[in-house]
Amino acid sequence: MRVAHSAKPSRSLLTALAGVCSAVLLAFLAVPCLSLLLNVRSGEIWQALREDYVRQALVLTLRTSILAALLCAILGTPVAYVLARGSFPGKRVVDALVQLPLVLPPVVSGVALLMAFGRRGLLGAHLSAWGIEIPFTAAAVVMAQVFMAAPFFVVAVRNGLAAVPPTLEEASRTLGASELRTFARVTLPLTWPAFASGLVLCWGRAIGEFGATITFAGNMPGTTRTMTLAVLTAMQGDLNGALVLSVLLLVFSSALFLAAAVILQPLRLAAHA
Amino acid sequence: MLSVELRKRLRDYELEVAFEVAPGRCHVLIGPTACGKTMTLRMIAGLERPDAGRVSLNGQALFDAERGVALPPERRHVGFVFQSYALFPHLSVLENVAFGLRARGTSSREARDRAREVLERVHLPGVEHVRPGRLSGGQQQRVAVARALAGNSDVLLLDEPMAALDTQTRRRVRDELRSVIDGLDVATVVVTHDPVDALTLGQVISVMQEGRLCQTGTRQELLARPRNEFVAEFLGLNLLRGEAQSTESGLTEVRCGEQRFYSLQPAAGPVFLTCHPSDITLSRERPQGSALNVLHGRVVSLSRLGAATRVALVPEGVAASNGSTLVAEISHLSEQELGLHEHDEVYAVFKASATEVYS
Repeated sequence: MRVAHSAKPSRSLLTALAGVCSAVLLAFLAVPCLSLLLNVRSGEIWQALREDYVRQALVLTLRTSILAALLCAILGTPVAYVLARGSFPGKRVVDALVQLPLVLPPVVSGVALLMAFGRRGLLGAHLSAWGIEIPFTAAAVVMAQVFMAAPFFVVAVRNGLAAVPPTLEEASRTLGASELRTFARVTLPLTWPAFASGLVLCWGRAIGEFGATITFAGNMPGTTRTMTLAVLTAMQGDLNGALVLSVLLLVFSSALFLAAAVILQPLRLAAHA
Repeated sequence: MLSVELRKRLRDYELEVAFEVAPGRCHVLIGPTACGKTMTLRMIAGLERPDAGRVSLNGQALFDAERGVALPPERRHVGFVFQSYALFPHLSVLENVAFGLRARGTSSREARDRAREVLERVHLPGVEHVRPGRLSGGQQQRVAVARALAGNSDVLLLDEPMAALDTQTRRRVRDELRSVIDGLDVATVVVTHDPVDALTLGQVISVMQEGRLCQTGTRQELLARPRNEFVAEFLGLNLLRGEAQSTESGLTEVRCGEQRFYSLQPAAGPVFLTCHPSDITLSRERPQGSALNVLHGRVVSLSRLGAATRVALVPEGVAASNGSTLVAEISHLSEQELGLHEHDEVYAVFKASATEVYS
């Protein structure tokens, strides 16, 4: 009896504690976003959108991040498939390598990319001999984004693929479907929520890329100054400009996230029905 | 005619099997877990690659190590029913069954019509538009069978078809599966670890142990003449090893240690003697009936199976090398009337005509 009695208040105490912790964290996440929105008037946003440097940064960000996300999908899908299905020596090493950028500080990634593709880099020296210069170009922006965003895609898709029983693919093969048809008709429909969420996460990460980009691609208006770099640049003189750009990024990212959630929700349900 | 002759080196042993299945016949591979039976099925279907041997169907090679033939699964026309059934969760029952036809180029409308026909053949009308996840285990099994059959396969392979079912439905589903298989004109191979599945489904049964077929035969052959203890045990049959000689009365006497058994079948030299557990009766007192084979022994275990009890006893005077336990199957009611418990002493009795002797 005593035990039961003392257990009850402690449980409600725990609930209360959990509630307080949640409230603190949620407020901590919401208040900055809210204050960002409150400090900008909508008129300012339209005005900013007419500025050349804003439009350039916006267009550059969209182009590079979409290209980066597509590259991640094209190059990442086979890797995810092999990691989910294959068993080979060194699989753990490959797995760790793919996820390394998740824990690597972006600046370090940028330096590493520079050491590989810079004029005197491991590969860059050869490319330089062919007349190809990567650092401080839009291509470098895309590469920095792919480097940082690929793990998000690969991990999401690998987990999705791993959840599909291999016997479903085998069943498809015994029924007369080729490997390609099996992938298109069985594997993909069952994992495409994972594909979509991997793509969205990866795209979002590419849009937000900053540290590796500024190190490897620099901050040159028109060619490598993406939205995040434009925010940094604006912060140094024009706080208002930085605010407007930040709000644009916030709205854009939230819209992306929301759209993904709306698209994915019914798909997830369908996949489990 | 499906003809199989395969070798594959596995982790613990070498798998080596050879058998043939005629169209319309059902061949069961039975054996304990990890004896290589599922691997055999997967090699026939092309899901695993053998080291050597060949698989041919009506004379056409699906796999031939020497000639370098190894058709991929999609070109073998071998229907496979997986242990988990492996139904596509994102497709309706009808789309599942039509999947193979679509993959082989049949038009959508024709594939659907044909799928409907096959669903009727496995007695499953009215669930066409349901997702397979909503069906019962028995229904899922029938969808899996229908799906494997719809593509006009010449071979049907079933991997542990009962394993995913609970014990209550297993019996009914087994009967249904049997009636479906009986009506087929394709070569069927079923893999199971359950003797009841084997004895009810298989016209020919192979008992497998560590990658080898210990014995292949009809139910009758295996029940009556198991070749070793493993086969006998696996199919639930008593099997004793002894020395046979004929007696003046025309009977065959089989000596197992100090114990003598009698049989009507003529035999001499080292032999096996089998007796079905249900042919053995038990009593507390020494029986005075006509049965010639009387043993005295101690009960070591009692296990219930439906209305019957399987009583295992260690008979006196029978050499330990003979597996040392004898199983009698008596009704649960008799067991209660006898008041049997472990360690009780009983007499076990069976007629000379209930035994089979062979070398």
